Amino acid sequence: MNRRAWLLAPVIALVSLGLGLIVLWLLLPLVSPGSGSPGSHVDPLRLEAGDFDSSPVVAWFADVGGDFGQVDGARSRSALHAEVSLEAEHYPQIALELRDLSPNARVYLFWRSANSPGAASSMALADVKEGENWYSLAGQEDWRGSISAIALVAVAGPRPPLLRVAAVAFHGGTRQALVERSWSQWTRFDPWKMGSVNRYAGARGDVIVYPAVAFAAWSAIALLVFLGAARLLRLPRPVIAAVALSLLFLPWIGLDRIWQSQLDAQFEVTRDRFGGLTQAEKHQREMDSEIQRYAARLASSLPSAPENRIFLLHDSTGHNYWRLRLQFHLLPRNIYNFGRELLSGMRPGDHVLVLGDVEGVGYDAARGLLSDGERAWRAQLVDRHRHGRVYRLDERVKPAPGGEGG
Amino acid sequence: MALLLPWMAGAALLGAFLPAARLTILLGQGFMVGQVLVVLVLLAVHALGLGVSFLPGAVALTVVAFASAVTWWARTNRVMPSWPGRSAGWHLLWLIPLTWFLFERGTVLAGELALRPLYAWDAWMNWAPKAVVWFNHATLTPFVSPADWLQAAPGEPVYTLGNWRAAEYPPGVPLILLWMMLGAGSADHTLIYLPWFLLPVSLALALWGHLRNRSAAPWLAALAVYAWLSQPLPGIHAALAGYADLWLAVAFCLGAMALDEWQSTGCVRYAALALVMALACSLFKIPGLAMAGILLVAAVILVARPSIRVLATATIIVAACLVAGLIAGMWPGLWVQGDTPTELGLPGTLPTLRIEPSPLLPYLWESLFVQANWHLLWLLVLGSLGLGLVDRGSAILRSIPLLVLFAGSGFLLFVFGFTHYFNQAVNGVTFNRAILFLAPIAVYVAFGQLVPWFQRSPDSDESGA
Repeated sequence: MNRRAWLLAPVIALVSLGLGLIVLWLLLPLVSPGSGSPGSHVDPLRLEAGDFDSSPVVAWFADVGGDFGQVDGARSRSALHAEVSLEAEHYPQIALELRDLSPNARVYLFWRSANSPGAASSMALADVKEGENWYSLAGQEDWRGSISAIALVAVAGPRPPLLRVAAVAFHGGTRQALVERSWSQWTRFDPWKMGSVNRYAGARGDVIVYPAVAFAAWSAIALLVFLGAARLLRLPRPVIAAVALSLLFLPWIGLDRIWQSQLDAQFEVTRDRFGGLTQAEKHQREMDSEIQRYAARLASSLPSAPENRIFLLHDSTGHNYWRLRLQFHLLPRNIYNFGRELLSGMRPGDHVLVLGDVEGVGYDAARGLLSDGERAWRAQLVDRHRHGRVYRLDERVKPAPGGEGG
Repeated sequence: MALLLPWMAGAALLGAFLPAARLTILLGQGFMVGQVLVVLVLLAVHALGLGVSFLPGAVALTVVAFASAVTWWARTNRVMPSWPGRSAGWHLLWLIPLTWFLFERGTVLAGELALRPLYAWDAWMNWAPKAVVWFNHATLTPFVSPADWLQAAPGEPVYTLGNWRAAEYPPGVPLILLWMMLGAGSADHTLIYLPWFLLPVSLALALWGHLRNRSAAPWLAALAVYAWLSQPLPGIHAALAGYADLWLAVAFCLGAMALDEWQSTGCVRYAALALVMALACSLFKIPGLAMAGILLVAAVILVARPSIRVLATATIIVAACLVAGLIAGMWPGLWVQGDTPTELGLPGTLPTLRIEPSPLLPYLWESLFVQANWHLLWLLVLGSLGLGLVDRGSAILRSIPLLVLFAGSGFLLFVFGFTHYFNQAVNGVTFNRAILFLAPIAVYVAFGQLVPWFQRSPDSDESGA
């Protein structure tokens, strides 16, 4: 009996996993809004780069409220627009393949309906990256009727950012489309950020189902199928436990292979950036290399003995990256890195490092006065740079009104 | 040398102390013991007014390693346990995939650590700065709160950090970093963070050894190693080095496993090992004080040996209160009376807790089952506990690691579900890192519950590993 049970075990496991996949396949439309709507089981409608032309973005903005009124230089920007002819209800999802996207650019999708040709609707595309990006359209109130044109606009600061469209595809609510979308979002590479130690979501963007949920559901369904079969077949305990473990760990391995692909891509990026370099050369490639150069310059101006106190002022609250990185790069200098004003606890001989412009803090070079309106010091300007200024405090005085900037 | 010497000293010391222990346990537990030795040696050297440098510490660790090795040899007439005997060929079925996984994952994580300069936020804000200052001053210059820094007398060399409370964090991780800096002769090199890469490796060794002691078959122990090393968030902490969370997680689990050995073998020396791990927990992070307390209470439970009825009753009451509180927290307005929340003051520099029942359940669900931080770990834990209950009923509460996991979970649920730290769960900065404290012990508990389902005779495997 035991031998037969062990021989049956792999077969049972595979059958359970297969049945689990089938159940998931059947349940798939439940996870996506609009996927069950009549007519949504259509082939994708694709647009290539050549189908897009430029048009003035203001032609689209004029119809849409929100923050577009604050977009500087709207008249100088262009939208990438394309003529289409599709029924919105048939296409509840969109996949955009973007190239040359400027960092920190916000991208908006606009569309016009044949019913209201003079008006445009819009949708902000959250978490958009270079490469393939999927979004649900079914939840958009204005995504209905016959759509006659679409446009894409990228916004980032005062200058028009880069945006190049490789392809756009409107997808129906078919199971194939949902699987294609999920797989794209699960395997989309996301470079590590400083906050990556806090969480690993497993997918980014407009996610309809997270990979951990999908694989857990697969495992759970397979386990339920198997436990039913185990009761019928009266399998021995070790066989039950072994098969149950395999029904958990085979999906686990699947999840892990996705994670490994992320790690491999991340390592490629890191190797391209830092491979073969000395430590000093690596620092030149870091995001804050400019701050590091500034800190190196300040090394001669700021004493490093622990008895010498340095106050770092910056116009920020909370944990600001730039001031904290500067403090780190100035170690082992003894730095107090809080606030944006001169403190009562400052003493003659202390240094004050004003990083950037700090509202209210000014230096009257003629009189050698450093002041924030509340307190004033006779101080020497030790170093002046576009990133900041360093002062050495000599003597506290009564505040002088209207101190000039340093 | 800075990397291997503490490990050798720790393993040798454990070998002398626990001569019959498996090699994998000596190496796995020995890594952390060695790091604790580093911390204690540096603190002692500083207390003696000798400043801090590599040589005294290296000499001390070498003496410990040598003396321990001699003692170990004298007790057992050999230093190394016997190598594994011949095993059945079918073991290659799991050995080859595991070896491939270790190579593939290890290469990428080690490469990431070796190539990238210090990167993760808290690493360069909270932990590394102390080590950099100490390295440059060759002494353990005191760090104080910003308020105390402002009040310090002129010329008094005290430092503060850019994070308001970070100066009060325990010194363990900065001292481990300082040791590596002293050995490297530099405060700025990627390889000084190698202990972060070895940390999960050492736990994997200990996990293997302790599970094998619980009569787990080699393939099951190998699966546990895979379950631990494959999890994304611990892997990220190994590669983006510099945080203290992984250290606390590993120390907590090692302590629980040591208690399990004490419970199973009756060898009280494992209790001493658990105390060392409790000390380690308290050296790494402020929450480590609570984790240390949990290990100590667990040790008391092992001494007191309450009946199953008492354990079950206490567990059910605590669990019921937690569950009720978490559910009640979904409607906090019903429970908080007035505008002034109740405060729970803690001694010393520990923070005061504002008691605020909060809707933690959705965030807990998201962290454990939606995000991919842990792969399917928590499904494994629930399933294995289910199998354990089916198999042994309330007798599973005799498992001290299970009680430790339960207590650790209760502590985190209380902090994030009933105090103002709920905000940390909302902003996602700290919550998953706190759950990381429980990840390794969860693996051990899960596989511990599975072992009886595959029970084999302990004589059937000659492996000394």
